[in-house]
Amino acid sequence: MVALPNTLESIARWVAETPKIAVPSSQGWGAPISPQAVGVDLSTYSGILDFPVKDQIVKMRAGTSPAELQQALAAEGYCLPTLFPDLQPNQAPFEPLARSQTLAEAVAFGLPHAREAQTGSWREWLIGTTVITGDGEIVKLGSSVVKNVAGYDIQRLMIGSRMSLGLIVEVTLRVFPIAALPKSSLIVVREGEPGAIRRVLDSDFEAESVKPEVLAHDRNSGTVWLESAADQGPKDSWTHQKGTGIFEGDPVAKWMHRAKEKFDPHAKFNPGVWGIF
Amino acid sequence: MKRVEDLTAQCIRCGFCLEDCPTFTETGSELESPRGRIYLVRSAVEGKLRWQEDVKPHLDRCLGCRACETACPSGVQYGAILEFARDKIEQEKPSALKKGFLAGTTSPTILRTQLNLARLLPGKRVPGPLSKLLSGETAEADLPTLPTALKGDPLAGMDQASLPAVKGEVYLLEGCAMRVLYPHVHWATRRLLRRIGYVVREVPQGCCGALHAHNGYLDEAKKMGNSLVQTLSGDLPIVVNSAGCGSTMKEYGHLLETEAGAEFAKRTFDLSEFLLQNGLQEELAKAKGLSQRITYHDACHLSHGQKITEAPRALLKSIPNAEYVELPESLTCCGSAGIYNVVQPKLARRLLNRKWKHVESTQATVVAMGNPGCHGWIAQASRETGGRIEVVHTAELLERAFSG
Amino acid sequence: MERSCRVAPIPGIVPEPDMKPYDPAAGITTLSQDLIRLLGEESVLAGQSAERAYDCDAYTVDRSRPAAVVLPNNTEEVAKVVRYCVKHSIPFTARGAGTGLSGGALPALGGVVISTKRLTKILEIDLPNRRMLAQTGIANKKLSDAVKHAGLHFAPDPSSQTVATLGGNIAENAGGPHTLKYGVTSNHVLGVTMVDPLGEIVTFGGKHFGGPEFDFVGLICGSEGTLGIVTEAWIKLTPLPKVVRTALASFDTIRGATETVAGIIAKGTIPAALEMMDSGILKAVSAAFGVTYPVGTQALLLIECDGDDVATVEAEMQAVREVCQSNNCLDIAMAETEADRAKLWTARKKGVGAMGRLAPSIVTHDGVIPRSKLPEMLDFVYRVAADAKVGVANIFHAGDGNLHPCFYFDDRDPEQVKNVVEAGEAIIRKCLDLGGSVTGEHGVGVEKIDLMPLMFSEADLRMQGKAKAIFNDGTLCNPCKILPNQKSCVEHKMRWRGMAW
Repeated sequence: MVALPNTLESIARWVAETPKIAVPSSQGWGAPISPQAVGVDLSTYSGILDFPVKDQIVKMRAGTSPAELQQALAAEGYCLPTLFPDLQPNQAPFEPLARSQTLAEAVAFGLPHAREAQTGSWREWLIGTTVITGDGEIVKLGSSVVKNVAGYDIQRLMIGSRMSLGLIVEVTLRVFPIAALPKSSLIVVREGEPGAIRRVLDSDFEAESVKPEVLAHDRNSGTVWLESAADQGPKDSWTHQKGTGIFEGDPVAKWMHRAKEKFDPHAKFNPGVWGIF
Repeated sequence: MKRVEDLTAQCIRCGFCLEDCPTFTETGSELESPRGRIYLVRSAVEGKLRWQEDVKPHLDRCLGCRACETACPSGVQYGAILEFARDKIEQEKPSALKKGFLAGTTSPTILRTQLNLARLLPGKRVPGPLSKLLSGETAEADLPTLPTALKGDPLAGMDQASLPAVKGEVYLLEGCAMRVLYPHVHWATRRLLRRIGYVVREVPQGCCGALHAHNGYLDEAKKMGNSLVQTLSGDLPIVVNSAGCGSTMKEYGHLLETEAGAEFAKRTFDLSEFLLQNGLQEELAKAKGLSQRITYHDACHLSHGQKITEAPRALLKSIPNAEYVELPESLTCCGSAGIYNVVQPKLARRLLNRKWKHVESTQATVVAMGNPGCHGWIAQASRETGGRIEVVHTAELLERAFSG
Repeated sequence: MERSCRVAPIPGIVPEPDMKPYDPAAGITTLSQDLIRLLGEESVLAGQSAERAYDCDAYTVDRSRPAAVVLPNNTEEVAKVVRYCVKHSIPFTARGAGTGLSGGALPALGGVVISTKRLTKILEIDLPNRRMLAQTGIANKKLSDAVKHAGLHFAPDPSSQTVATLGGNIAENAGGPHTLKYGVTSNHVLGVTMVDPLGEIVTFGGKHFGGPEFDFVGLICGSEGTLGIVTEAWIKLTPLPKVVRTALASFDTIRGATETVAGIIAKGTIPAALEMMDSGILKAVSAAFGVTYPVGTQALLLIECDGDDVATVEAEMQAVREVCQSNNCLDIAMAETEADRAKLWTARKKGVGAMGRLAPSIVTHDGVIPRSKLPEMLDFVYRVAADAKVGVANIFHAGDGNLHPCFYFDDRDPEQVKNVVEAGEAIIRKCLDLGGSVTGEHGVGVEKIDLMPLMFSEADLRMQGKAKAIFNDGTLCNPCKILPNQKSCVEHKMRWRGMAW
């Protein structure tokens, strides 16, 4: 693992010069990344850059840890409206966000949380990012205001991209008043390490939540945390797992290849993480 | 009259009228929408489009229902633009057939003669070749049949003891088609007026010119309007039970461009608003009532043309023992629209089917409305489906609440 | 009117050849007959009147005529037309209700306009899962109407919602007053069926939220019809709040109102909606809808709080009231009945339309600023308008920091037009100086295409070009939108302007 340089320009230069770069998930989400890639430790590039409280937004370096972010926000009465500002110890395994080391990872893997149904998710919160392209260009996506439709919303494409389209180096989020947080409806069934997280439709929820491999579930967000990593659920339910998730031959694979070709033509970022490229 | 350039310039093309336009929602084409038509007129006025080839077909398909005026936040006077444009088109290239048809409809004598002659023809619609000439399509609207004439004093047999003292007189617009086809509506109107203390001053009178104005004959409309203003002079209120006529008469100031026209307009009332303002609700409370399930269709020239939607509802809801239900899409045109069902039979039929589907969905036993055009057209749908739901003028139903 | 690109176009954002407008005379001579053969006579509009009626959307400054307009009845018919256009190199542009305010549905290079207005069916309603599958030509409001009985609605509520289509909302990622609390369109769209720029029918996402793949649905939302033509969409339905409180607060200074907005947000309250109207718009709105307000009112705030229990909503409203009072509001009136509330919202939503009462032309801007900068920004807007000697009225989503300064003027006077264009640009530059955006909900279209380089660097724009190229690397699918790329941008703009009356 190498530590990132501490300015955007020097990171960009380093990226341009490095042939393959690995930014793996600290919790093993996604498929294994090619061992030829140089592992990078984003957590060295951290710190909150701007928190204009009155605008309810925060901008930070992407290596900032979610814990550090929550702490800074809490000091002003705000939070990211996930479960973990008031997480109980036995709930920790079910909040991968709380256990991820960097915001970059949380965004890149689009980590789910137990309040999604009430408070939204990354698609709503992430209003802007800065990424470094494979050619070493520093690119700003989105904006730093809560409403913006100027240009393509590429920041949304970065959510869940498993860091395979560009290196996420800065993140701007909208924040949520703690006072307005709804009650959690997470139910922990038994202790364990989730290997997959599945979002299911309300109509499928009862059937899914009583399966033997279920560790925890949340009625409000229709989420179940499963012990097994294998996807044995209904084909169309969303599964977040330690594995590929997408296979050649899936209709969407063609479009993922096209996106990859356009954004990362030399397959520099996280080679292997999707299993298909 | 305002210059048409200024009238069309008031449209900022926001498109808020689109979903309220029946021909747009049926076709999805902006050429058949208010925004599109206004733009076409504007372009033709500027010499960029040809009136006959480019503009006329789309104006022909306009119902003139003016639902767009209700929807328009900018207050565009679509009706005035339409009248101007149709007049322009007729002046440039008159349609003898349409004019003849209109003349036949708006002259009581000719209409009566025609209807009597029509009995000699096979079938109950405008004969195929004639309809093809009028619209290029097969006829959809049944020819009206002459009702049995009503003779005698309409006020005869009313319970004098229960009636209030006579407060004053009003004029009643007898209308052209109305007096021939719906004499019983006038009969009910006179009785209802008496129930609130008014009697009708009877004067021989002509047509108001509404159908002419709506169809592009502004000069004829003006002539008829001026003559009516003369005939119904003085300061008596003028009560109208035909929405299309009332709407035009309330716009005489604009149409006739005279002080007298503007003053006349102020004295003009739709029957429903006049009855409501003068206490019919209190009288209804004492009436026998009706055990019926009632719904109400908004005639375009009442709701959009005169902005009257509440008065008829308030009255109908006051009928003792009756149940009132709202009609879905009640504000959407039924396709009758003056002579539209004769000149655009296909689209008119689609709109009638849509209207009737909603009427049936209410499970009402009777549907009321305030305009002869809608009355005849919607009654046809009722006949075609077995006549289970009765179609009446609001006045008839209100009068029945008293006299059964 | 003379117009040049305000900022030099940046070539090479997408590798596109030099684009020429489609010339029907030089192109395929049997265009409308061919289209009729594909779709039937009832579904094709051609000729002078169609060319004019479809030469712009609600952004009327730039115009360009299509060679033909088609009204397909299903996704397959859309695909047929697109494949035909691709085969013959004819540009094509999708259009919904044509209520867009940035020229997104302008057929910039002519060609074929593909209207979605016959795709108006709701295909499936899944109440237990709060999902709906609908064709995209349906008006936004009809989606909510269809599930009102079940206590649900489609949350995005742009002011044009009675007419604007679902497809148009997706293309522009439409906002609306209640997006302050409920989020913009992309947060409510779960899956799309789309005809891609080559005429293939593709589906992304579905009934479920998210998915393991890249978030193509998120990218397609807000792509202004440049990545394909969305014909069906799975949308999320949101429960209607059980308790709603709507207040109208009046202020005798603009500053009082803007400070109140900033104060409410800073306090950590998130009302369902927080809208501002100034005295300029109130003239039009009171004439059109009969809304009344105290004498001396310079600004009104329309504030709505909602939720599932009375106590919470009342507490929120109380907090709002305190902020209003601390900023010396003249009066706070609560909407007592549903009819009162509906009247206030009609006034707000149709307010911009009512400006036709003030002058023949309006231009509405759509810049966004950080919410704490609202007082400073509005002072700036009035100063700029005064300097330029043009009328300005403000009616906007204050809670989001999304401005809509509406300049009203007479477009028959070139001097006024020039002043309006310059004033608009000054306002947008100020928004960007304050860390904002050139557009919050109306989209870039052709209107703001040359403002993009003010907000984004060349590298940023090249990245956007790559996103576009995932789906569209040709010149046919809604060309000349969003990216200031075209070498011939200047000539195109001149041509569009030349069409103005």
